[in-house]
Amino acid sequence: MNAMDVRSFEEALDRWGSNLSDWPAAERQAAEALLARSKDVQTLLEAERRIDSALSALREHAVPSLLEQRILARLPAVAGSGSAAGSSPAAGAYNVQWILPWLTAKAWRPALLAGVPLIFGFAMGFGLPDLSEQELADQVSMLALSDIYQEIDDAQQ
Amino acid sequence: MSSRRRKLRCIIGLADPSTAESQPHQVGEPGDDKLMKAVSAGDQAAFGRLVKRHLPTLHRYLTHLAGSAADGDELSQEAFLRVWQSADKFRPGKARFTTWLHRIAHNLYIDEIRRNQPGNLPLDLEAVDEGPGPEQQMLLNQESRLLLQALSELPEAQRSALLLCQVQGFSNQEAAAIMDTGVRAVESLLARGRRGLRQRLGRSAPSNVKKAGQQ
Repeated sequence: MNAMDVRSFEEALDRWGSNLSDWPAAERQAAEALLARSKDVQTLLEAERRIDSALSALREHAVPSLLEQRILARLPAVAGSGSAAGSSPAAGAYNVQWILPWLTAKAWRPALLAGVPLIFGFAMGFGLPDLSEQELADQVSMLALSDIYQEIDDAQQ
Repeated sequence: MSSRRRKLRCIIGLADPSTAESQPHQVGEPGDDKLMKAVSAGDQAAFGRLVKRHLPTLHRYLTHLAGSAADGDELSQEAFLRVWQSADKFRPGKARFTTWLHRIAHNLYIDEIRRNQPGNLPLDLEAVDEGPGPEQQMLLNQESRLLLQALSELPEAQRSALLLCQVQGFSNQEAAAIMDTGVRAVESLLARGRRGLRQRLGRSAPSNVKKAGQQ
């Protein structure tokens, strides 16, 4: 039989609880020998027994009498997941929640990424001001000649 | 049931809070899985049966976890409404209903704590002072009141692990699933939680005990 110290006694308490008859035989014998000579270990065991007893007492629990009714009374206002779900506007939102996961699914991600520049291009195109043919030609000329004008300006300076 | 037998049942996953701790359902009554199937089809009567069956245990867990009857009431309501809203997400083969329910409730509580940052404060400090509520006060002896005080001072994870395994009757594995952590972590939380309770209850000052052990 191995001698037991307070630390290993405490670890055994954590593992097997305060009822020594639940402990493996070797540990129980070592614990009993330690208990016979250590007042502190006796105190430790007593504390553990009180904790077990107090925890057991917590199992006795009273629920407020109206709580059950309060929960059930809130049901009509809350969309359920089943057939009742379709009856409210919130349920509609719930029913389309599949769209986002579907769109972001693995198979769609490359297509979505490839589509981003395309969408950006269309957005830019539609975002440009509506110009007449002459105005457009003038702007293109200005753009094309802007480097030459810049060089002339630089040379004059 | 002896504590060792209870622990063994916990380890091998036989502990059954739905039958051992809450109102046991009568022979011939539909099981939780069957009721959940009905609930997912919008059956309010089935939902009512589930609430009747599981409210006592869930309310007990949340009240002791949050440290106040008012928060226990509020969180219990929210948890059951989530069950109603998400019934189709419940997978009978994957977990027992009571484990799933506790996981919903636990997550609600964690969300509330985060919302009330900083410092992992309980939901409502004034409500905590209010204690377990008049009905519960009648049932508690002095020892349990001291224990509740000590429990409320423990870190949330230790308190949760102790309540789930020692009061609610879940296995370590189930508690790990509820808390979204590993079984080893739950074991460690339980050991630290029990030591924390021992220290706080003042029955054994560890420093004195350690000194005595070294003699």
